[in-house]
Amino acid sequence: MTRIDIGAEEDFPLEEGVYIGHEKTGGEPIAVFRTDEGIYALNDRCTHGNYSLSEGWVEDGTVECPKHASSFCLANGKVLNLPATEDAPTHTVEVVDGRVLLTPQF
Amino acid sequence: MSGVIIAGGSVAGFSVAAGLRDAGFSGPITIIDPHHTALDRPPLSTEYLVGDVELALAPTEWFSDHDVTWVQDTAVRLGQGFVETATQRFAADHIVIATGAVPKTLQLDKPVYTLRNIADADALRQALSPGVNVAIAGGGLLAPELATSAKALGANVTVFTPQVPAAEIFGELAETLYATMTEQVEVIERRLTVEENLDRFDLVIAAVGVEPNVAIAQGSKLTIDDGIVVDEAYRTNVEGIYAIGDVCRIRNQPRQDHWDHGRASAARVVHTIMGTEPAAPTPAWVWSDQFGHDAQAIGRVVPQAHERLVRRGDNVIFVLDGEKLIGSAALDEQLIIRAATRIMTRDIAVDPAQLADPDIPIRRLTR
Repeated sequence: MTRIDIGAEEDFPLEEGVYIGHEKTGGEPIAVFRTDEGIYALNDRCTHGNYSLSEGWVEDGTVECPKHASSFCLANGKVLNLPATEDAPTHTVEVVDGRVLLTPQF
Repeated sequence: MSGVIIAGGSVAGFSVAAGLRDAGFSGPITIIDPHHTALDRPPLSTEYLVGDVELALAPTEWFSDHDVTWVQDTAVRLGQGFVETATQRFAADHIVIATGAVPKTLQLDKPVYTLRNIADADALRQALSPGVNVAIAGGGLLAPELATSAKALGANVTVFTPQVPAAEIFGELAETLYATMTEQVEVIERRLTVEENLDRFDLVIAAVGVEPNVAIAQGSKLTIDDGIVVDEAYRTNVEGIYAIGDVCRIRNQPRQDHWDHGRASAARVVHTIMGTEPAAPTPAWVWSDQFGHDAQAIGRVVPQAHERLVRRGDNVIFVLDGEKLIGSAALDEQLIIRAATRIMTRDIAVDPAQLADPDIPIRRLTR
């Protein structure tokens, strides 16, 4: 699996999602979220429908899909409420020397 | 611990089972429903009609994993402590009625379709072939959604509506949705009645509202008055019997028939059964996908005399009572609704000038 440099840490605003397109991930688009607790990566597409989790509401270690308000745990991708019923796939992401490194798990 | 029987397994009924297990309820739970599993409804008029989308509210193994028994049958009778189908009798201390609603229809000299369940959607999908001439009657959310899907399937669409659809839900933004619809399909501004000459139509879809599906409670001691009448904890007048979602009506309030009420009433009845303190009720939330717009609303968006309407650009409105947010509606601006939900449930004071300013990120107003 390839580790990809997707930018400097400061390019990832706190409590917001950043969209990483398929041309970078080599597969599905990925949403990367930085919070005070850490940095997390989930498949960008909500498991309920065609909507981008990177545009979601980040709070308390979760992201809420803006479309129909299903929430997912940032740490493990677990779906927390309907209408989505499937967990969001997670990916490995870390900050090394101020750079954000993403390892997609496709 | 005593058991729970749930009659009806769409979002309301299913959410009771899931909520009870999340809350640590260890007694037996049975859902009786005519479908093969728990199915969601909102996509039926949109994504399901024009394509393929998963309707199941949970994968099959969820039921065995959570020890919830699914009985594919129709509950036809109940009383204190029991529910019956045509052939089986079930006993439980707690009975939750979540049988939903049935669509009203029109008596016309044409084939009339309605949409409520997956079989209805499959029949409509067959009927809406390219070039078919369809009249859609209704003044709510469903008629424009069906018009959108019918057009996408290649049908020639005419909508009959006596009013701007869903004006009480989306407030003045309903005018924008109406204008979009009139650009996309033929709209005739009157109610479709038997007087109408329907010669040019092949079929009619009636999207003219629903009636609570109270059949199970006929002949029981339950009070029925435009739905099974319940208190604010969704208790009926019979001990141990509850009614939630579209089938119920809270005493002295209008009946609510939206997805979010199914979910919210289920969450409330879980607390009633568990004897735990419920969270503060969340304001009613409604969404509709129509003609390329994602319309959403939370709370009440038509101001009363002492309240103030605040606009943020062309596609977002808020209603305020002083510094208190009463409701919001938005077209294609989902984060506004996510923010408004937090502002309202957390009772955060807001400044109308800040709300109106699109340059101030809405997130900032929730902190």
